[in-house]
Amino acid sequence: MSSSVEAITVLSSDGDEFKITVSAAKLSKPLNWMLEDVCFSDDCDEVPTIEVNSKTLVKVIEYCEKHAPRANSGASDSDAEELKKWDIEFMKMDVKDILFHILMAANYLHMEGLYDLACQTAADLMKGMTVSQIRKIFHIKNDFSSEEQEQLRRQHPGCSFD
Amino acid sequence: MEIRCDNPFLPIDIIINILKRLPVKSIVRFQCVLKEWKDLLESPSFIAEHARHSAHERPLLLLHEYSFKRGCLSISLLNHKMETVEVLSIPSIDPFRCNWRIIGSCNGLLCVKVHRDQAWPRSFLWLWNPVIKKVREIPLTTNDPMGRCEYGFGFCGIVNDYKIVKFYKQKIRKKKKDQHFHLIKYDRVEVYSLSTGSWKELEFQLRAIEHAEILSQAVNTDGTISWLLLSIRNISPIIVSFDIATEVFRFTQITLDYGSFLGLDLYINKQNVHYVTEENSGSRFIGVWVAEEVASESRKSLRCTQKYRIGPRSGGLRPTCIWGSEIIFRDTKFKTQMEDPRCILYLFNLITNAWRTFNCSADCDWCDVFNYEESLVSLSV
Repeated sequence: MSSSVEAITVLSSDGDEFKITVSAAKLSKPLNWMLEDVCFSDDCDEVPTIEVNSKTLVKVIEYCEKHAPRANSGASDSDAEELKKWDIEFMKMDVKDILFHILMAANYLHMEGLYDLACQTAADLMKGMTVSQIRKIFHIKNDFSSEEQEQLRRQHPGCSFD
Repeated sequence: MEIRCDNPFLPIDIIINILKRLPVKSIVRFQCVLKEWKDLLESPSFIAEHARHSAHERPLLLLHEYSFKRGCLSISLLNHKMETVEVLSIPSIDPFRCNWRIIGSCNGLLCVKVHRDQAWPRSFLWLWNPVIKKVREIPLTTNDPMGRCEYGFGFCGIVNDYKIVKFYKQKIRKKKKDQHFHLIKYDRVEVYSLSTGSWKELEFQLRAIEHAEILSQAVNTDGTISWLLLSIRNISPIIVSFDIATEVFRFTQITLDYGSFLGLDLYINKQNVHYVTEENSGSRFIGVWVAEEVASESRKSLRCTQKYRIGPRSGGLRPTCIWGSEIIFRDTKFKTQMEDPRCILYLFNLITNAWRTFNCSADCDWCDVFNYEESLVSLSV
């Protein structure tokens, strides 16, 4: 890899091209390995594909670009504070639709910071939900038989299957 | 809240990583989502994972208020702003309603001493996880004492067991020749293990503590339970530590003598901390001493250094526990106007030196406070 390269191009699973700076790509271990293995110089026409859809990849790259300067250089406490506020705002942005996709992507790309943030956001969203709301977002069908539900209600008065 | 259904199917390890961040109440509710979730959420490995994750959070403060006339008024959990986040519902078991005290808090479990009836002053013990609403009665020992007992409650991760230690004085006088018999406070010690579900009597160096008075509430760390004792034979107090795994007691004399001792607790790095009052030309200070272990060739001892000096304060402030970086003092008044709070907590922050005040409810005569972490620890063996 030529050291003059500052940004690389990757393909999403939908086949769209995205640019990501080298320093931002280093936040992900698999991307980092790619940087070392794959030729990214101008005369190489191979563009690696990342198994993440376009909508999610935009968010992941946005996160990487924001966090890269701090991850590479270390930062003051005020920067860390600012970054925390940014994370909260970042997770607010229409994230309900794509939160699970971000979770999968962060897991697949080994991005610990984003993975933790997404898990915590999911937990914060879920904690006030009812059982049927949880089933809906996880695509789960109630598999307790009516006898089992009755038995559990006897053991734990107040428990709800809805 | 808008819920869209275009989510991908998440693998189980991601689901676990989300669920371990949920409060205990949500987890209990979500056991009804799916059979697989119920098995997962009740598994020891998930419970341990959840506990590891919540260990990084600041514990809540458990406030047990009671009135001398009416018994228990309420048990509530307070956050760092001293706001009530939850009022615990007391199990609807009859004896539980009357005369009972919390004697220890550990990993979300409370050890409670219950008097079944005031005319029948035999003690019963309960282990109680109030958040998941599980109670377990601890059986009586074969020689259950009629008199007073002192308890300690703790957990040891190495042996993965909860134990209760009980000091007491046996009713029947055995050594008739002992003229100091009336001075003996405790002559027996027993330990209960939750994993075996039984009590056993322990041998220990009675001499070291038989004429001693336990001054502090028992405090626990992972692996040990400690008390502060004062013996009539010696002006210096003793820290008694019980190793939960090996069931061995260790006695460490505090070698300095100063002031009057008030209590014992654990602070940063789980060091033993004790408090001392000093009178200084009419003003009252409270010294906070940290005990650090010094090992010499022959024996281990504790070297105490004064780390903080709080005051001057008037009145009879009594330190009750350390919560985060704050020491909580309790002040009780008995002759005030009816509308005045009789029980007040003062919180002193050891880092910022700031005080804050918390008024207990108007009819509260006395309160106990404990550090409390919500947990899923169930009481089944």
